[in-house]
Amino acid sequence: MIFISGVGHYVPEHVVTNDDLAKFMDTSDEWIQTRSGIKERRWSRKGNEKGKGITLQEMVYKASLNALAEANLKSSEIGAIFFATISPDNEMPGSGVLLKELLGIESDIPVFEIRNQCSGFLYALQAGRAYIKNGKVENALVIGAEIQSSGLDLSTRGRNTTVLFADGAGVLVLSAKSSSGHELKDLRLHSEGVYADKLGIRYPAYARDPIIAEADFGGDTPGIYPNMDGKFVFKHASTRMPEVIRAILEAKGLDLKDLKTVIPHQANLRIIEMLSAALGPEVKVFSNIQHYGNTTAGSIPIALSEASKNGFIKKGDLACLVSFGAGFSWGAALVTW
Amino acid sequence: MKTYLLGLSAQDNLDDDLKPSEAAYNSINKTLETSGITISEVDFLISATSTPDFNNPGLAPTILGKYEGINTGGIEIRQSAAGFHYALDLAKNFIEAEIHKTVIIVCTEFLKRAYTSKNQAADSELVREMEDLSGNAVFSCLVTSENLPGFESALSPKFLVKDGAVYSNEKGFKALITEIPSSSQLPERITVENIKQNRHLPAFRRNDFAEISHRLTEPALRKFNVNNANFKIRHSPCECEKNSYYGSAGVGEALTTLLESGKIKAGETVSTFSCGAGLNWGVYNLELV
Repeated sequence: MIFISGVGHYVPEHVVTNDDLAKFMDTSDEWIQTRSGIKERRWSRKGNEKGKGITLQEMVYKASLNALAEANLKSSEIGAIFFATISPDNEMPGSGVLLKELLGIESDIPVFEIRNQCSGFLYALQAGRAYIKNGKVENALVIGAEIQSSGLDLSTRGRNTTVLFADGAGVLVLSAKSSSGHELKDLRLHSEGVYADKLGIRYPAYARDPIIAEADFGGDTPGIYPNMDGKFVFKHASTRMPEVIRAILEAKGLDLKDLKTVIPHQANLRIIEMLSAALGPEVKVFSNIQHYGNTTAGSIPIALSEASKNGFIKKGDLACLVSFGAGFSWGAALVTW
Repeated sequence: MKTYLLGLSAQDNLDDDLKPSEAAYNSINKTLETSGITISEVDFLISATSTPDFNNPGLAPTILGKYEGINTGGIEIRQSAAGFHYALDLAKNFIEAEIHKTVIIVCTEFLKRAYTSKNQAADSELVREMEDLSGNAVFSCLVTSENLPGFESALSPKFLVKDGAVYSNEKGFKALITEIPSSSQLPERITVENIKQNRHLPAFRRNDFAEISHRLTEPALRKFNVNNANFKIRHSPCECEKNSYYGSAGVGEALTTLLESGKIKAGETVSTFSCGAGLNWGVYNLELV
């Protein structure tokens, strides 16, 4: 058996409301809320200040301390780290080894740097699951975290994506033994790469030569900022998320009437509402996107942490974590809480 | 249950026009052919790379997207030169945990391509070192167990994955580093000024890397008896000649070359070691069966 022995999260203190965004781009609170449900989000970036802000590993460190405290574990008891992000502090190496240093982990444990966008946390969770299941490690940190605010276009040109994305970190402690009783039962992952160009950031990257050029910083659709075909993504997310939930339940001989709670990736409130409608009124579907925006790999662990602390998810609930995002990649994890 | 590598395929003379996903796709098709399986029989893909087609999404879904009707999951890992060992360690755990039965590993590196964007006026020894060493290569293989249908009759030579592990330590963090994009750089993670300063290219401090990697990796090399092996493959930027540092593809490329040379015979073991940015490193002993 594999247990979730602790969950923690951290979001930057700086709150950016929709009215704040309207000061520097042509948008409005009503426009943003209608399309996404987001009222405010957290950014590490406060404006155009220069220099070094809070680092990704510092955010994850704070979240890790909460998760470890809940698990009643010391950091020295962690045998591996699985770190999912698309926004590391340095392109290479990523943030994982510096997190290890911050946590004071002296052993040369494996630190996986995982790049799977909005489904990154579930991919990291599957990797951690394999190590625990084999007895390779007793406890692992599974992390989803992003600092996206430094990669957004703050002009009107970028408003379709800038209003959505935000910063935050969530950490889960996965353990071979735990008194929590929160059991990870199954997990499945998928991709559909023919749509890789529908959501993502193009450059710097290696599909063409040069990997980055000055022209990528300007024009109508700069390659250094997120691009998204919103309607296309919405349509596919609305199909794949309920589909993978049904599939993972069926594989365990269960169905929707056994499911109590869903913790979905927080991409857009309208997608969450579509998912809720597809699952029926007996299934509670969590959302905090109104206050945190889309934190990509951080979204599910932040949501799980909040849901577990405010009583939304209750002991004994059969719960499903579900993601859909760039790749496209999607997945679901079944947990008895 | 034991874990095996089949279908080893490597190319290091890659067309300048190729995209990384295309090179990976071509290599995987060779792996499938010699392993005797089809893409629909692959449970999972592990892509180790530092040179994806897009900044995100990574290479894994892009590769799988070239196969029509395939919705298999694919994970993307960034472990520098230790990418093959990290991928192998993960695949072995998937197989032994019975989470997956068949896992394709693909290591794709178009390291040379980064330097077309270099600002010559800001060239430095730290950047030039890696430019001189860097090459392009791709490697793929199938990781599975003896329970794979058709295992015995597969055309491909097979390696038994014996023992090994992967590691990391932050002490060598600055010895090989690509700073930009940096999410904690404010106000923007990447600027034109960064490109003009070549901060988007790897900076290699050879002496620091050599000293730190030697000190940190010695216990693993001793534990797995790498230095006494008849056949040894070592891949790190300190141990490569001009244009032959292939990042995550390095170990697999050397392994395939050894296999094709006919020098290694059934029953013999090759010890493999890699060390890259992080520092991340890995060791695995593989026996040709």
